Amino acid sequence: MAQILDQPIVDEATLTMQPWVTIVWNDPVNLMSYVSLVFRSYFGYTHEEAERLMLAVHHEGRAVVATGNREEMERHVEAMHGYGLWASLAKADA
Amino acid sequence: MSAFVRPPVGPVVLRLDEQETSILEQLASQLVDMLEDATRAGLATAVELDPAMARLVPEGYRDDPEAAAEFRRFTADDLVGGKVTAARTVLAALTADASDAAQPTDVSVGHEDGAAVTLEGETAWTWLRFLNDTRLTIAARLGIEEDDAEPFDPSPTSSDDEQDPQLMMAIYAWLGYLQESIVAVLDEA
Repeated sequence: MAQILDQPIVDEATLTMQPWVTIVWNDPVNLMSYVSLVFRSYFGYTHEEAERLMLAVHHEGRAVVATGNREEMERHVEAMHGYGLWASLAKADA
Repeated sequence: MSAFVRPPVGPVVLRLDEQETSILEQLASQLVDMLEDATRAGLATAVELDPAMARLVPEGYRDDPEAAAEFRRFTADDLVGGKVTAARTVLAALTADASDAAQPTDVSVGHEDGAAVTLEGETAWTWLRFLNDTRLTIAARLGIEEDDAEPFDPSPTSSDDEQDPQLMMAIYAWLGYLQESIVAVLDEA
């Protein structure tokens, strides 16, 4: 990871691959309305997009709520934990 | 019951009666104690021993124990510190209000008039986070593991503490109602 960050030039393939994702997992405690509000407030999603992601979490057990580099996803996961959401990060293809 | 009052102009105010204020005070203070004890014991250990702490400080990586441990090492202290701050802020709001309401000559009044909390901007989020952390903790204690446990089946899954599960369930439901109400207020904004 450090090697990539140290390079002054990041090639386009690396940028567009965006190999990490933030996943939010379903849990029985978090209110659906609260989860949706967090998605809107933190990620800036529209009402519709936030609802869609919240429902995906609820019905499918998990949803990818953000994609990007690892550092960025760690920040998002940390923030989600701050809101009490059950979140983790993983490689996009995992 | 709690009432949300929206004045013609200005922010929404959450009004809590004496009993509600007292319950929230106890919960906030217990949450602070639990989080501070866990911090003293070491969070890496605490999450191993206590399902509530494991839920409040989840794994950042699910398939990589090494990365998960490292993530926790770098984030858990701030995360738990934030939760303590939120609980303390709630506690301060509840106690400040109660003492304001008391007559200076009557030292035994306590929470006679309950509390009124102005839910504005960050304050609303502080309350939401606190209510959520408290609900997560109670759910872990009660062993709530399934969606739609909604009718609040009071059957206890563990009886290793003196807490009355039915009472805990009622409080859990009420906290959910409070949280839902604050979300609804922010939704309108």
